Amino acid sequence: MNGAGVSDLLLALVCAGVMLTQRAARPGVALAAGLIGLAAALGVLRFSGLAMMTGPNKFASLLSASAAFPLLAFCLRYPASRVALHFGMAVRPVLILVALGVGLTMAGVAQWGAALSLLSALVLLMTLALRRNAVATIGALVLLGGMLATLAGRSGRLAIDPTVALHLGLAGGLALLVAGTARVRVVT
Amino acid sequence: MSPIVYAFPVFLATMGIEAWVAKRRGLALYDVPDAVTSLHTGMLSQIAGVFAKLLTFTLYVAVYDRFAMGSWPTDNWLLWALALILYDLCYYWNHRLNHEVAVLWAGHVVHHSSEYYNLSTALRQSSTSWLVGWIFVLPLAVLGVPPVMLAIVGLIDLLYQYWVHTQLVGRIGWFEKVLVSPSNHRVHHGQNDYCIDKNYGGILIVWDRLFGTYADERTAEPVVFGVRKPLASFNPLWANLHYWAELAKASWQASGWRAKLGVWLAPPGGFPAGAPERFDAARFRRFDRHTPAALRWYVLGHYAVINVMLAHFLAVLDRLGMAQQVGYAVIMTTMMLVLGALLEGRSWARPAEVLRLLLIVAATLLPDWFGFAAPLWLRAGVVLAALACLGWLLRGAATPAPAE
Repeated sequence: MNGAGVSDLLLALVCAGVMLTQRAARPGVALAAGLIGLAAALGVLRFSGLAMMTGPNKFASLLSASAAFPLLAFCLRYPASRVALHFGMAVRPVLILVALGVGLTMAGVAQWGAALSLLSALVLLMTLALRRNAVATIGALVLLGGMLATLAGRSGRLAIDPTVALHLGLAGGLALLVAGTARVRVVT
Repeated sequence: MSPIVYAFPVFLATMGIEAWVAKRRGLALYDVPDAVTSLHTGMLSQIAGVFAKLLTFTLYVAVYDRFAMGSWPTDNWLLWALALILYDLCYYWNHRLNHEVAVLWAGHVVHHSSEYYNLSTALRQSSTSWLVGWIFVLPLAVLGVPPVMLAIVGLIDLLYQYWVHTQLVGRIGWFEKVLVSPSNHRVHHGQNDYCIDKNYGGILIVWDRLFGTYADERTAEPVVFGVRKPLASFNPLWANLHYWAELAKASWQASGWRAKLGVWLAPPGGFPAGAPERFDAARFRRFDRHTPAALRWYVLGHYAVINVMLAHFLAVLDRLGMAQQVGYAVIMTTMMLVLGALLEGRSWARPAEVLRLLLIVAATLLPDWFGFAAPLWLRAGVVLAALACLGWLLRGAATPAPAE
């Protein structure tokens, strides 16, 4: 397993932890983590030498980018919403976002997923900063940093492997976001 | 050519047999306006499918080419069986969410809008459910199910579901513990309280048993078919669009972007404030415009003509340009709208039908009909038939009841 595999394993473990701890109280967050975790788990297999997992890993990553990050941002911005509090409701926007994401990406709008992920991270950053939630704001910054590092890495301006940077940014960011918002009182 | 075209004669023959058997047994299983609406809706779905499948199948192929973990060999029957089972699982979830999410229900409601349950109901298919429905089979593309395999297992799944839309077949013992049967699918089409959101399976009913959505048919409580908010129309286009319009209106009226979006993602009917309304079978009345018998047969006859046109349309599709395809589709759709309006007794229906017949006469002067060089005897026959219809219509012998 290479560095990308190890960092994907870390991300998968963080996602599994988030899913397990949040599934009852915040199913929307758990679903978002589940989607990201699925991509990470497939990535572990891919970077462990299973070349046939390349396609599924990339597809799951597309689903994460198109649906999981917007869902995460929505659930943390509106923690009392039906989408955040009911699994059955959280699935619904995911369907539409997946249809949009896959449709547009296949139609040639290749950066749709990346743009939506960045937008989601920015929304999170703004929301949490305005709420003066230090831990979660740092989480949003780390998440955003991971995404931006990937973009910078693709243009060859980064010492660290961009894929590893993304995985670490997502793992750290997600853990801090969830930990930082866990005690926010939900007013329904 | 769409393989469905080859199934048309089988569909028509089996519907004829079902209607005949029902009549012999004294059962009112068929209502001509309702059945014609189902058939029109099925044809509209085939027409829309021509354009929709171009998009959705292309997307499946694109995902398969780019993300598949491999490609399943097509010479292994076990893999075919597995593909069918997996497709059926995808179908279950697609179908279930069609009933649970308003924007998906908007596409699917047309299939449930008939208040009768017979083989024609099976053909009452949606023209808009493809908008989101295609995403449910994407896992198969990623797993490596080749497009041709998907197309064939999808067709098998669809065709299987035809025969279960009947009231002439009762319980079938062990069979319906595993497979979708007329009995358990009748429950799916019911609006009785115990029928709501049950029995979503396509071929295998085990998915419902597995995921907790199974319900047995109750002999003590006959199933009342249809939806709680009836369509009350014989217009195939409106049957497809009425719930979209309802959602658009509700979304427009909602305040705030979350509420506006929420309208589309809510359960059909929105978020109920209290307990759901109980169904009272005694208060149920089927939609009936009291269409005169002669007019029913007139419309049925013209349906047969449009059916031939549809078969021709699907057969020559590859040889037509996009403009011709759209033109042909619009002509057939307009014909169905006028016939539906006649059944409903709309005030504008008779003038529109007269105009339609005159245009048919005029069309016989065209050198060819979308690539078909009609022989002289056929053109003469069409003119005579159209003029006969015109004369009959203008006599006013079949004046429908005015629309309410």
